[in-house]
Amino acid sequence: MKKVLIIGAGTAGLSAASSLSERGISSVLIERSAILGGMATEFGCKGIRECVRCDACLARDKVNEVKRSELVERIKGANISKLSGKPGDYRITLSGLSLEGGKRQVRAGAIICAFGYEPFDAKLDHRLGYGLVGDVISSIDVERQLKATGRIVVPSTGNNPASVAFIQCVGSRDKRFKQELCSRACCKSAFKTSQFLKKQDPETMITFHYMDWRLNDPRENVRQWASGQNGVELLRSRPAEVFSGEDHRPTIRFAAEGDAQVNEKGYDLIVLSVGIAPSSETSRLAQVLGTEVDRYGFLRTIPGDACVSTRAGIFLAGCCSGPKDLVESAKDGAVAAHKAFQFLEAGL
Amino acid sequence: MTDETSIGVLICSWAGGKDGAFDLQALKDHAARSPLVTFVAIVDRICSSSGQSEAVELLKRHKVDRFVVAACSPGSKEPLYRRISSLAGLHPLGFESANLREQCAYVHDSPHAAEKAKVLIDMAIAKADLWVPPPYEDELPVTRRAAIIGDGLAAGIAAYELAMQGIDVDLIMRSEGFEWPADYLFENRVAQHRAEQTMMALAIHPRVNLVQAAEVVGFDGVPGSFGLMVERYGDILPIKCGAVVLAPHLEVKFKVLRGTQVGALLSSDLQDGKRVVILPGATGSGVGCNCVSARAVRFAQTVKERSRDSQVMLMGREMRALGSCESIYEEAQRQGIIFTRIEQVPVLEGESPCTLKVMDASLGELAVKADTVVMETSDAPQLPSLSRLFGVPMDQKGDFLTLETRLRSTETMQRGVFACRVRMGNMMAEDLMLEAKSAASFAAELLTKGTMEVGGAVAEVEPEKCSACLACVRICPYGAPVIGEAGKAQIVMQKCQGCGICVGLCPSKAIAMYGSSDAQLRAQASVALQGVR
Repeated sequence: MKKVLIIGAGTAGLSAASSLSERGISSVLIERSAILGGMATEFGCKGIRECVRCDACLARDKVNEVKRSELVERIKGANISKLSGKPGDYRITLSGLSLEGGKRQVRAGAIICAFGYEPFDAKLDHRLGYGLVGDVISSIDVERQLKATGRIVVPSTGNNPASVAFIQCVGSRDKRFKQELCSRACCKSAFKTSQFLKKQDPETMITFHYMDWRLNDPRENVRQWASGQNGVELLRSRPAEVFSGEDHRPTIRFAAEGDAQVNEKGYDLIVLSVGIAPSSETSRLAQVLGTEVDRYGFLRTIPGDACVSTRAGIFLAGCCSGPKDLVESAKDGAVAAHKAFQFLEAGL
Repeated sequence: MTDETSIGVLICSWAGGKDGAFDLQALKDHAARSPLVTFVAIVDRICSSSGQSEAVELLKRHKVDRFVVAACSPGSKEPLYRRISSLAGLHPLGFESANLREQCAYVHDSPHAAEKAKVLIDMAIAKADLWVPPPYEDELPVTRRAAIIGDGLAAGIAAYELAMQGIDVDLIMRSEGFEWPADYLFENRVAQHRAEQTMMALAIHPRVNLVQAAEVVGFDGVPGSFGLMVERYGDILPIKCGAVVLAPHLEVKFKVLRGTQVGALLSSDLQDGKRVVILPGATGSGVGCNCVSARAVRFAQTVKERSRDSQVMLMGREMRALGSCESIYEEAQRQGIIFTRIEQVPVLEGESPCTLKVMDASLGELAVKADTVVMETSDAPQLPSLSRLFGVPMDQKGDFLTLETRLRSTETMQRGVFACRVRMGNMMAEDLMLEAKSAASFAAELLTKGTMEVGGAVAEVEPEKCSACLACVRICPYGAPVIGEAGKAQIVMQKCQGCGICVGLCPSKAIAMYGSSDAQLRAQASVALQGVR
């Protein structure tokens, strides 16, 4: 049965689909929502005059690439409800309102899981004031704003912010919320967003409250960039609280490294860089597919063998097996496709 | 206008975005006024499948030999237009696009946008009129064999992955045997064991040909069928392949600055009660950052495990233990390894025991006594020579520059050459293996498909004008121009990427680019400057 079922049409799933179709293998791409492209379709371009390599556009190009392929069958508005059969000849029951009679059976030799992640719900860390204090927004809200309007503004006034604070690692490397892993993408996204803010209005003052800089790309250097800009401040701190100050601006209470004082500082806009949390579908799908979940709540890969799950014929790509950025997810997708191809060809 | 040309114009109904920034009928009437145009049609969403078939139908019915498509984003939609063109029985590149979205509707107010749209369409028509069919081959055969170059884990994994896909592989190594990655590159024993098993299986795999103690000295041929010259014990061995994977070995070492040798640190010879300080590779190691990497943490753990009473300190500005390595960072803290945050490279005073003057971020200036000081270094010594030989440029950090912009991060600008970026971040063995698998995956895509597309926007030399001055041969980053048998330059179509450098440089104006000839650009410019007809 030389057909692969791909769960999720985000960057990883699309990348797997296009890689398989290049090899002449047909695939069925299942997407829960009504559009292809996944989370990346919500991201806005952060370049004004020049590209800052935020990669937001790349995922959209991938959608077009997959749409052109005749070997990829796309089923939107559907989800997996049952799996039977055996590795090499799986029978999958799909359910969803878009299907005729609400159900459909698909046969596939291998399965690639690429159902992605969910952004960490910033409300859970209630001390940071998300949803409680005005003008505190999450990095996902910023992306949506940017996508829809091409600008980043203070929600309450609609003006360009004069001062912005980024709070990093919200729901990343935080045991309180069982979010122990580094999300790998937020340093990059906050850095690119601040580059955008500086282009939008060079007078904008930017403060980062960070833990460790983890830009995966050695070509990028936040410190170097910050030292060449006016009004960019890097503070190693984990803010204690965000509250509405006397001037009704959101205010951060924090202690910075090398400073025993507790400080309070107000900003026009506070952006919470939310981390990558396991999709709420993870445990259900793991049960349906018969794969394992690891201690971080993501699908388990075999140590030393990325993209391979604990069950034969089921492969993992993208953020369903742990946090990754866009480029890494695409890389993962291609590797999972390769593994699935090997499995179908040689029964490995 | 030449007598035989007939141009069709297709206007996408969504050209200006879904709100419809344009009066489409007015655009259609305007385009129809051009004497060069055979027909104009408005197509409902040309990128949809119904739009595509409608476009094909129209082109066939009106028997045009080229067309202008006025729609959005030609960059990403071009392959789609190619398909429409082929299905309509035309040359796959027989079209010109007018970008009515990014270059028009998105950047101008509507009255201006409407006027500019007309000019853009006129310009595309003028350009299409002078279009000359370029050489094009969509199914150029590719030799189903891969060459992997490198000594270490990345090369081994890439070779294994390709071999398991049924592709014959030549693994060209400089050394006699594999350069095994150090223990501290692995997150845990299970991963290390699996990697070792893979390397063992590779050595006896029937599809893998190991070429040991060999150096690649020459690279020629064209994409699809490359030829490698490999020097081995003084002999030159030719190797043919359709894909090359560059996977240089990443050497991660801990260099001793003061005190005990690394070998002794990792055996149990270290006297208890001594203090070992591990510094990050601050500069010159390519991945220049002051990060405490997961590798350094693993190294520290090994030292600590060998002599429990020694005191191990890791210094650095940033903690970089990605993914599940976060847990070894924590484990190390539990084992009593000390992490010190420093802002600058410490100053070393005295021999063993020496004193490190450091600036602790919270405690201020400190003097730390240490018996042994080691520094993490990483290097990929083979990378620069591979970069030169295969024409894959390096970025400013000394890693391969690849086509990340297409979300294909191991593909390079040389078609058929794939590269593992081994110096990205502070890579652990897992990251190296993933990079290698990704390169193998893209190489396997090409070799499994078995054919590639060549031609299109390529440069061509007019031999009568060429004075064989070698300017193009020297400047081309892809090595496409060569001096042919007639003593004139000629451009190898498979290698040309259409960058146009040679066209601009040629002192005799002997080189022209298909799809952007001087005549076409002049015609376009003159339409633009005259404004609306």
